[in-house]
Amino acid sequence: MAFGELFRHWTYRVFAPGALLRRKYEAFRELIQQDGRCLERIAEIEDIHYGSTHVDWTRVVAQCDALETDVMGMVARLREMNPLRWMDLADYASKVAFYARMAVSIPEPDLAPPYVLPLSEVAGRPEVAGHKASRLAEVRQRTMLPVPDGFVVTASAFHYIIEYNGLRAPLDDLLRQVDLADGNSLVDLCRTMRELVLTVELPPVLETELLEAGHALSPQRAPLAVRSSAVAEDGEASFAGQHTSVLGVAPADLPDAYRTVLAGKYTPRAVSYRIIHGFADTETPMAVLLMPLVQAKASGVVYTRAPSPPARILSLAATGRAAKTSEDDNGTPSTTATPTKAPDAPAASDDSAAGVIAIHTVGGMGAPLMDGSSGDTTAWLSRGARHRILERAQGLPLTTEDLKRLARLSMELETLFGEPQDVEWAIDESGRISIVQSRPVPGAAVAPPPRVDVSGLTPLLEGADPVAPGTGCGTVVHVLSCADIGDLPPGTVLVTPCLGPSLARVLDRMEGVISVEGSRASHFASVARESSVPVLVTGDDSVFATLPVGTLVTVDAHEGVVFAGRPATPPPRRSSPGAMALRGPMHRLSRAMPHVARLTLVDPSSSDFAPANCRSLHDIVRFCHEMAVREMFSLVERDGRGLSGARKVRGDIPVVMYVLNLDDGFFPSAIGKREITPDDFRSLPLWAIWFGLSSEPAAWAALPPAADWEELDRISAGIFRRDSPQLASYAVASSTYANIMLRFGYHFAVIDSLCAGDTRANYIQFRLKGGGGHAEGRSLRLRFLSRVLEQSGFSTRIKGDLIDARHGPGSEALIQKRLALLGRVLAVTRLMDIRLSTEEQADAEADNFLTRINTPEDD
Amino acid sequence: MSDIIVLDDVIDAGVLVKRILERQGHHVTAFTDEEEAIAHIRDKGADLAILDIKLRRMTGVEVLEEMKKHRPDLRVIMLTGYPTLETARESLRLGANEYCVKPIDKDELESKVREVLGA
Repeated sequence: MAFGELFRHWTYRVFAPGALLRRKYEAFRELIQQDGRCLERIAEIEDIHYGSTHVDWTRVVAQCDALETDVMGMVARLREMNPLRWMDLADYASKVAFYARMAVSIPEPDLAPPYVLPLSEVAGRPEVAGHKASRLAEVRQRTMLPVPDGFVVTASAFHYIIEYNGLRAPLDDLLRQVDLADGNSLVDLCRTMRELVLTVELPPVLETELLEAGHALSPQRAPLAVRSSAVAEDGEASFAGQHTSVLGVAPADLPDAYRTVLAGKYTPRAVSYRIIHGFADTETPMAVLLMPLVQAKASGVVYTRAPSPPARILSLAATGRAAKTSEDDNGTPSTTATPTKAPDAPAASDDSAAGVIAIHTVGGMGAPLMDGSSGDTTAWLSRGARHRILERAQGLPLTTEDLKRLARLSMELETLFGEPQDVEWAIDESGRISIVQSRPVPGAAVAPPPRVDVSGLTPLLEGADPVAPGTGCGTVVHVLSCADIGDLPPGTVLVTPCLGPSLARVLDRMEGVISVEGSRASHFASVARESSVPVLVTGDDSVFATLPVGTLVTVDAHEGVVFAGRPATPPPRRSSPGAMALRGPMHRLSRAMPHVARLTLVDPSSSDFAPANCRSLHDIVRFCHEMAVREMFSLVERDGRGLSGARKVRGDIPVVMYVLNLDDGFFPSAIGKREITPDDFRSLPLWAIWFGLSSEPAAWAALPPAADWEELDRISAGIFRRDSPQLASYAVASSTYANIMLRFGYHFAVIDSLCAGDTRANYIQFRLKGGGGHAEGRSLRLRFLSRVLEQSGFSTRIKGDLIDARHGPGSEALIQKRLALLGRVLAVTRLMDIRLSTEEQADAEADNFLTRINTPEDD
Repeated sequence: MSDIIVLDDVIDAGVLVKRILERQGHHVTAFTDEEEAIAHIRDKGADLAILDIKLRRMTGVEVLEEMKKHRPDLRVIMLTGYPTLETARESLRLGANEYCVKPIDKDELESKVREVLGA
């Protein structure tokens, strides 16, 4: 600034005080608007942080950028209002803004080659090849286990393609619009993103390398498998089944198949899963693994320590008993347990404590198993060295020797990686086994959900197979196809024909899932276990008739039973996806919050209320707002010239308010008075609000004696305090307009209203944020406000601890009436955030209030 | 108390930091020359180095890299009036414990030093 601005300021001061005041008022008005936008953005960021809304990280960055712009705008406006004060504010604001930017920014992606690497070169390099490929490479390098050879198109190739085609900006534009609560829009946005990726031009160097590697891998042009190996996949989050693979691809067709796998990053389910787990788009670049396709006789999944096995299997493992098997009993499978010796188990109970191995199998390729469209045949084996067969289902297309070999190979993988594994395998006609994936069992790190007392409830359905444990309570919704699942209300118990991976998209709204078909080895079951959502498989489509839409049910996926109604003690709240995200990369937002939203400047009367003590953008907003209000009012009062001066209001309620008369806001009776009364208000909106505030004498009578300022200060939530202009409420008024800042705790409740003869232009805008009570209390106060205002014709919107309400257009009489109502509501809700403790109480008080104000004698 | 060096090409800025930290009981040596500061770390070591980024011949990030070659365990606070995301990321990648932006007041400086020395 500075010199030019200072010079102009001094010139105005000396020669044109009227012009200075006009400039000051314009800057003030603009600052107040920026303040409103800032609080709104902070509230949205808080909503994202606490998991109330699920948006892409690009939205967080965009909101922080916009917040920074408005914050720096407020600093500039305050400087315009008084260029001589707070000279260091801009430096501190820039510093805080930098910390915030640093906390939310994502490093630029690495575009450098190599773009294609043989599998042998990616062991232990998940950041290059994704965990799937990197782990398979490690298996090939460190063991003799049967992993097919292959090659990888790297993560940097993905970034390079996006850059080469100029797609980053359009993708980010689309991602910024994603809100998982709006499923239809998500589907449309994702379709557009996939179309962008499916039509990319591969850079010539990359296309050539891809085709050459493909021909080298398959000189006889045998078909290849082109599989996703995204960088975050099978890491902190499994992304099980969320991405796309293309099987049976001729080497010449690799470029198209590669594009298809890349585009799989932008299916609604993959985008939802990524957002829920807190990853940014550029943090999950799509590396792609290419291998020869195994001509499978059978394929499936081995869990080396099965998640939540049935109690009967654990019991068999514990008692050292084994089921009859084809080997034991001339090939007649059975599930009847017979006592057998278990020489490989040193102690039966030890074997049980160590868990059991599950081998889930389907004939042919494994896709129907993974995508949840069909069930499987399962064999259960002990984890001891000889892998006793505890039970095997009928129709299992594997010999006992196949089962034991699979168990041995899988246990070797568990030893290699040091934790239980989820192993995908295929076996060809000649009996040769191929390992095509090995990852930690998804959800294994999640503590098993506790059991809930369901005694006294009536069973509606029994004997279902629990594939993801837990108990959930909600309302039944039917879907007839997993593929086109739309929006679901929160608290849904979904009844579905299958366990398609697209169900993961609405996981945060589900309390339970009951499916006709599906396997505990399906990808969705893995994702459900990660999120502790209970899932049952019935094997029978009569479930749609047994559980009609709208029925309130309790799903007990420990025992495989669905009950009518809700248990006396409801199931504990599952971790919200927001909380899940906080465990993952979303902790980045936790790191940013102290620089963005945490309010540390809370006491405007303290000497610490200074730019040097601003630690967050919210602090800067708070500081600018407070100082702008002081500047606007103190200067006019001090100089006593221009705009008729600000006057202190002496009324019948203990609110200290200063009013700045813009244009005809007072009657001539105010002339010459240092203090005015509400009778001097010509301003219709100001008078109506004051009338409302004064119409609740009981709300004011509840206060302690006025002399006890400390107590008054403590319990008044700051709406009125010591008789200090710095700590008062303020209004700017003309005959038809008022902008009123009613001090309400640490923030002002802001009312902005035009109330004139032209019905179309009239409006009321109201905003309140924060308060002195605890978070729950503040939220309950907003609930009360919203209920009362909605029923009085306002539209309201709550974001975090901020409420926005709007009324209008409307006649002059109607607007006055509604402003008076708003005044009354503000009087009665002043301390409500400290007092309210339940939603029922908030609703009841709102209804009582509405009844009271609508009774004729009270009018 | 701890042995701390401060490197800032503006001597007054270094001296100001030195005074604040000496009042806390630390032993502080202030440098304006990069080579001298690096030689000090190489020969005598320190518990903490506070490095400005905009220097005369080298950048603070280069000084950080040199110092870490000699003393990989050295704790470092970068302190700059010209912050960029690139220098911040690079500094943290090279092992700086904190990346602080000027202006920094006495309380903030003391608390950052306490945090880094306690880490």
